Amino acid sequence: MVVRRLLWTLPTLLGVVAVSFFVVRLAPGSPFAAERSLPAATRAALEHRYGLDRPLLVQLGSYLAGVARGDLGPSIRYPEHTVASLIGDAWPHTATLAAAALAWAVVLATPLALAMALWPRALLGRAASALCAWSLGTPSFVLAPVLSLALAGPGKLPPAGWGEPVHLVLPSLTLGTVLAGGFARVAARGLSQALQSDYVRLARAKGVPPRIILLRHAPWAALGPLFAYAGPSLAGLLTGSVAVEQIFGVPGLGPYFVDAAQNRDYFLIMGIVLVDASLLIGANLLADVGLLWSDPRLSSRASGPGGP
Amino acid sequence: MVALCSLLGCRAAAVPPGASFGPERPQHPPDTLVVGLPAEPSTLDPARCNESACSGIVQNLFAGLVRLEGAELTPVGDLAERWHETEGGRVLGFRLRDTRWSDGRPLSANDVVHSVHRTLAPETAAANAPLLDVIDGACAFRTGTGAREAVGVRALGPREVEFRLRQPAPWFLQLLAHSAFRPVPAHVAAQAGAPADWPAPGDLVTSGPFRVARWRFRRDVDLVRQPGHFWPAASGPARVRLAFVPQADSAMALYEYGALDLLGTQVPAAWLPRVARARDLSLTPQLTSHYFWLNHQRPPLDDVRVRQALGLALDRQRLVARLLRGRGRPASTFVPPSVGGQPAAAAGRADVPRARALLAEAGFPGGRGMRPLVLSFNADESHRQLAEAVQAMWQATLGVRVRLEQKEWRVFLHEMAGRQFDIARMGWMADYADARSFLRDVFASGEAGTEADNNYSGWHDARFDELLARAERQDEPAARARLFGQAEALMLAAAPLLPLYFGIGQTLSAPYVAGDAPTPLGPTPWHLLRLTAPARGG
Repeated sequence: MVVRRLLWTLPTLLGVVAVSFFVVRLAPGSPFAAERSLPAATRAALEHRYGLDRPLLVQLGSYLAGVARGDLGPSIRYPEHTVASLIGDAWPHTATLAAAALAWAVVLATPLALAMALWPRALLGRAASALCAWSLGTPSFVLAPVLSLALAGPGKLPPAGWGEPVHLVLPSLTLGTVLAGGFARVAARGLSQALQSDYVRLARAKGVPPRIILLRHAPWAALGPLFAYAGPSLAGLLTGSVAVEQIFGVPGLGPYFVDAAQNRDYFLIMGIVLVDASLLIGANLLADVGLLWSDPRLSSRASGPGGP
Repeated sequence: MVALCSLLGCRAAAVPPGASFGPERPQHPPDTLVVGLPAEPSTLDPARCNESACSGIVQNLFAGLVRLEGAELTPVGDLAERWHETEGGRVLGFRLRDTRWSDGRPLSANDVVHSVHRTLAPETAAANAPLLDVIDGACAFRTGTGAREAVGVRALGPREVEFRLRQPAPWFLQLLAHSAFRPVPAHVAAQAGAPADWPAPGDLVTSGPFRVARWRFRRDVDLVRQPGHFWPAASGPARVRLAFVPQADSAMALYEYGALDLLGTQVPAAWLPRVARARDLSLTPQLTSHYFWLNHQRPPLDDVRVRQALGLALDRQRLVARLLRGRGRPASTFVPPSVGGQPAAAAGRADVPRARALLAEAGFPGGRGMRPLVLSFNADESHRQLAEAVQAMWQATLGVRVRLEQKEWRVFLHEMAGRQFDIARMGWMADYADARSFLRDVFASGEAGTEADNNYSGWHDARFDELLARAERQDEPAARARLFGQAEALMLAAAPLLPLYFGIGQTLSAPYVAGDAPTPLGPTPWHLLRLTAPARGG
């Protein structure tokens, strides 16, 4: 299963690049348009510099050839930078933020999931469920200013900025809170299914204490769906959040997604699309591997009847 | 999102008059000035810089031959020690100061000549190159029909440089302060090869009060003061940190937090009630004009009476008072009064009866029989509010129905360039303090194909062109101003555009920052600011 997915990766990426290449060029407006317009000759010189005066298919071909060499092209908007250097500079910040957000999500989701799985009918379970619904229904661009309002200000947390650990708190808490609801729900469902499963009943019958069952046996069953859910979320985190990074001034990948498109920075858009698509495919692949690892039943099924 | 982010602005009561919005004393080492940077500059190359994000930094890195001082924007010598005019103002000779680049090499007349050539060279593709056209032979070289050697700039000695102009140009000294004219080191650009090549930010060799120590993209730019320079104020900050804050609400919060000492962007509308009377907010009239273009080729706007009626029905004073809250001055001219715009009597007030009469004359009494007009603007909260107010105004006074269309910036520009609009909002900021920077640089047709086309209406008039041409040849200030005044009156009567308001710049500067005095063309150079110890208990 994993090998087949791996083989599909390259054609999928190629398709994504080709489609987005043409979609981007369909958008009206030029990367060189500005408040004061350029003389025709200057615009022509710029188009020539970036090869935009050649036929589209030739441009696509030379772009793909560049990508194969690891060259993602120049940034039109920031002529002193290449797309690879912009993405390379931004990516570690987004990754740091993603790791912190994931940590928050786990910390916040664990008690919620336990409450929902163990006491679904009790007040505690219902309250946890309501919190999950709130978390799932609150977009990060709403939560960010609300958290900033509550926690940032003179004498409190800095409202924006990057570089010190304290700057990480608000953006990661925002992203982590938004993720926690989904994580908790999926984990709770997995847990409660596991608690009713045959092997847990067997363990119980053997006299294994409930605490051990909860800590050692049931979580494995909850992990599978969690991996399946976390894969795309992780990819989302790693491609950066447009709103959160913008509001808290995180120098990450997220804002490029919008800025590059608005600036018609053609090569930068393609670079971002390429990175985002790779991350999405990679994260899903990882989730599949995790799924196989956590649930041996799947791998025996995947190897098929012809298997050993 | 905007509405929610604006929550941040209304969390607290208004700052009382005279009190400060930010902290009273610096929250960081006092030799560093921290300035909010709303947008990442696309380049720090003076030749290719064509946006305020970079020109604000460039003017602190690269000195011009002259700089403009005070609200009157008087040209005073900067790199130039003195200058003199000959041949009736057609030839200007400059004597350079004995000064050095940040790498220790002397700054010479060759650098000045090289920089003019570099800005004009077609391969540099400098957006502002047409500004140099006043130099003899510049336009020809820029457009590939003339030789580099024929451009009217030459070094007469290591520190003597001469400019030969197409005609006497009273505004030329103003123009010299523009970033497009600021010399760059010939020895660095020459090493890099082609004229368009430009060193990495860390290797920038500068002539101004600061050089770049570090540039962390989309994070911060650190500038350090250059030692041993000729600048008047030796007490300016030793370093300047430009902190990138793309989101306006976050920038306000950061300023309040004490992380920024200076913030030169427009205060978001939601924050205005809070900071309007704070002592850290200063307002400076700018040479910026905001207006609606009218597409005079599309019916019913092809009838001048319809265009005039729309203009007469606008109550600019009400628009400015209600929507802009002091961030603009009502405009009845396109050219700001300080550089020669001559407002008619009752400036900014509507004349509804006359507007109605004109509309009826044009065949649309009470707006009947007229198709709905489309008013387009680029996506922006304040543009939208203005458009809605005007829509209501025209509907109520003239019965003219208006549909609003908000567009993404580049789509907007694309449609403007293709004249696919009825009415469209635009703004123009002067490059130099002269009526010419508005009338000629927006409306001139020039030699075909050589000019930037900023006249989105496509309106032309032979008498207007003739008046501009006469003003171009006239160097007697009063007569020149009169010609520009006549040209503008003619244009306003034909109404290819409707003036709305003139911009007012807003700056938040912390109580411990002294010497902040922005000019109508831009912010205070940072080396002129002083970080002072605040009075106790202040």
